[in-house]
Amino acid sequence: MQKLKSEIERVLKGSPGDYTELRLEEEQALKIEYKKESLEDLSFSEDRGGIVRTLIDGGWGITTFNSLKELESKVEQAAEIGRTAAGAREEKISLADAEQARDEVDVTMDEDFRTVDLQEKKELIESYNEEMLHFDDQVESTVSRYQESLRSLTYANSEGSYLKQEIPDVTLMLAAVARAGERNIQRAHDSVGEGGGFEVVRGKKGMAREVAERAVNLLSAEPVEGGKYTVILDPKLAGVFIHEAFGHLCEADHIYENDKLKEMMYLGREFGNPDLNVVDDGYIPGYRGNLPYDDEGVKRAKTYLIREGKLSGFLHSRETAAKMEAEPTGNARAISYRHEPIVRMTNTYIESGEASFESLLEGVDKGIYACEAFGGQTQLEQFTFSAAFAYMIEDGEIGDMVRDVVLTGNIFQTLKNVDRIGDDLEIHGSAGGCGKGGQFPLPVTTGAPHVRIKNVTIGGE
Amino acid sequence: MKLLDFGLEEAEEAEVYQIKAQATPVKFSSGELDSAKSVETRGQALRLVSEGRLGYATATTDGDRETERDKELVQKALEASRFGDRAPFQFPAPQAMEQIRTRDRELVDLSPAELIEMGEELIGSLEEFDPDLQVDVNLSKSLSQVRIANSNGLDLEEERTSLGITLSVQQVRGEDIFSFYLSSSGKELDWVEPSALLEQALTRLRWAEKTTQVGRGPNSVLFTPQGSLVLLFPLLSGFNGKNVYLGSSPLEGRLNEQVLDSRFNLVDDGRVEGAGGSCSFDDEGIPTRRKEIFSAGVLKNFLYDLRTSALCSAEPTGNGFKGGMLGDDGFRSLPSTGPSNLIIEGGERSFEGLLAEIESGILVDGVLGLGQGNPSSGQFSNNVSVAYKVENGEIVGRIKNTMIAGNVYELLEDGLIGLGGEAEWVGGSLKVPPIAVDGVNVVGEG
Repeated sequence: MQKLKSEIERVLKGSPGDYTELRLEEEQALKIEYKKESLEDLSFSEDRGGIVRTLIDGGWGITTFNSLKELESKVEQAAEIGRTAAGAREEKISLADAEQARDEVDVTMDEDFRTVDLQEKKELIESYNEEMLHFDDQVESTVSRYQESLRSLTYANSEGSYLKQEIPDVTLMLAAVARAGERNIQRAHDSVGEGGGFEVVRGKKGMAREVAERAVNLLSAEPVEGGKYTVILDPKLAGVFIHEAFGHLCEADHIYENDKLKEMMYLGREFGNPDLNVVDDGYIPGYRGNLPYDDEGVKRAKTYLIREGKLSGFLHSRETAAKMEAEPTGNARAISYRHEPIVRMTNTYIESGEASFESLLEGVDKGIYACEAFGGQTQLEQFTFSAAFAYMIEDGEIGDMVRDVVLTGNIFQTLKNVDRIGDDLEIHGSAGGCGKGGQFPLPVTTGAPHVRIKNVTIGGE
Repeated sequence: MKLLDFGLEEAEEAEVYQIKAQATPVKFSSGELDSAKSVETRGQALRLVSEGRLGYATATTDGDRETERDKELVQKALEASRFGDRAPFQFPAPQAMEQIRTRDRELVDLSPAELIEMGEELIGSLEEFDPDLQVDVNLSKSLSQVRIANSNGLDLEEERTSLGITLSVQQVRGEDIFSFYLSSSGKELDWVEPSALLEQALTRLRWAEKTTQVGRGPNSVLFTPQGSLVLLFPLLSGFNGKNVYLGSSPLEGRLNEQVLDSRFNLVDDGRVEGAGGSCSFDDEGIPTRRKEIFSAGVLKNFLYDLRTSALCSAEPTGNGFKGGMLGDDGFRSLPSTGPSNLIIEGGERSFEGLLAEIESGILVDGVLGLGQGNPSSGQFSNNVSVAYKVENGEIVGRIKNTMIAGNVYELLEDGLIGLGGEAEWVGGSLKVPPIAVDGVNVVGEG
């Protein structure tokens, strides 16, 4: 190990670049996946590789590789391609200052998944799958997917930072498809994901039952009628909403070279009511993808994106921070050594307000209680996301289940229409992840209390 | 092959997939070059059958002869096989196959500087049209060598080149943001035309000069080739053999029945030379071929990988692909059913002719959240991202904050107005004409 460290330091010292960094990674992973009654995938994978990124003459040159031999030649290769890149740029790239980081972060798991027998793992996942399959005759098929991985990251840069970080990742995704007749096919799913050990996936029979039950219930739910509604989002859906619709807009790499967008996204701009606070909290140990340092070796920070309704911060890499004369926030992340770090979120949530769930329902004559997310996408200010299931609200009471609820809108208008914020913040890590710039899935968490939004457009027939 | 031999020392049957790839992506954002990159991928996947049970393991490799790591991989796959399912299939034996052209010398020789130049030209022309546009461009070329060998004597190798360009354009006027995304990819340099992308981008910007609103109600919708993905996406999950096996396809049990309008023809063809999804054989060594999926609206075939075909007592169709969405590191995933190149045949009508027929409706070129709604049932429900209002056959302006919803099976069975004659390649592996349908539910702001 010491030998590798001195080799890395020697190679970085010899780099012709003005700034050079090296990231080496080793990942051991296991996947167990049932589809219907069969074990479709039980596989091990090992992934070893590295990336060199160098800033030379104001341009980035990057090289990624699986062979860890001759690191020196990788640095030279990155420098060569970086010179070509620099020649094509008018403005030279620079980096904001960052503190030198030297640290070692070991993995912690309550129940180390490396010590659990494969047979036990397989049988547990199988039992969840059986639970769903046998819940009801209308359950046509299921997917039960368990994934564990342990990543060891070594990061070093030419400014003297040297970090070793280890992180576990455990996810469980359960999905059921129920069917009645030719075209009434309904899906339900739920998942958990944490930076933890095998304990994360134990005791999930209840979750399996709920998923199967929901898929069956959706068969008899009516499709929602399109139109405008007052909508209450549950914490899971509200969390996805704030991540998708607002969080991405605060990623400085969208803004820093875009003057028009800068005019729109100015600090202090009023986005919501004074009780609205939105945070990206870089390091909460135990959550998915949570490490003390980002992939540029910068300490992760807690950043308020909205404070008391007003835009109060952006998420930065060292490059965007330099350009916007801000401090790096520790949000430069890469899904693996195959990619350079780009500006990403971490744990993004709406802080708790003061309203009880009952008071959110008050005064809603005709509305929708929308729960959990099936997916979402944004294109700058436009967003769309779909609820996994939902209920009508009539005269302040929760009524029948409805399906196919897709919400859409413009974030500038929608955040202002958030008129009540619940007191029940929940932060959730799912089995999926965030996608951006060809990098998917990045482990993140999202969170919120229940929130009520007026005048939301819902698609449907 | 050494790994195969090691595998067969311990197991009855084995299959090895190896990839060695070199890619060069360059990335521009807001008109400026962000970075240039070299990406090397070396990896292998071992699938074996031991005591009748399947095991699977993958690893990246150093590129050298690595006896130790090869043996470790065999042990991992064996461990997995202790709990694996009974193998319902056998690895394929070699069969007569014509290799198609998948490697373009000109593309191999393309330098990072030349890629950068292609990007600069594209950006330059767009900024000439409107200097305030924000233009992001990604270009990537790659060369990969794939080898598949198994214990039934199959040993195939192919070199494949590819070039991909993605273009995203953003136009900000006041608080209004108009943005769209176009892409092109192929296995040959001539296949990918930056000038065609530019023309498509300029057309969209011209259509969007004015903005307007639509109200609500059922409507005629003309989908551009790019917009037709809204209709194609739910169909895709319907004719995927895996979903048929899982019972989540509404097309189950409907082979040789009239499912869609008789003007609708769709094929899967992995042998279109130059196209992005083309290769001589799939990731299990089964030769690719041309298959009708819908012929005159009649359902003709489902797509299958090896395992799914065995579970369905059908023949594999050369559609067993590893995680294509993941790029070159997709070697880690098990092969699963997926399309190669999908081609919807063009119809009789011109785009203008279809447009002229729409008295009141919209033209849809892109949506947010493709796959939202309930694709298994054929249901889509999307917010439009690039769409225009059509009145009396004329495009009158761009619309936004508008939801469209409908059921693909119903629309293509009863609501088809017509298909345009000019099928276009979208993103390299889909060839689609403009499609006009009646009966889409539209909820707008007006």
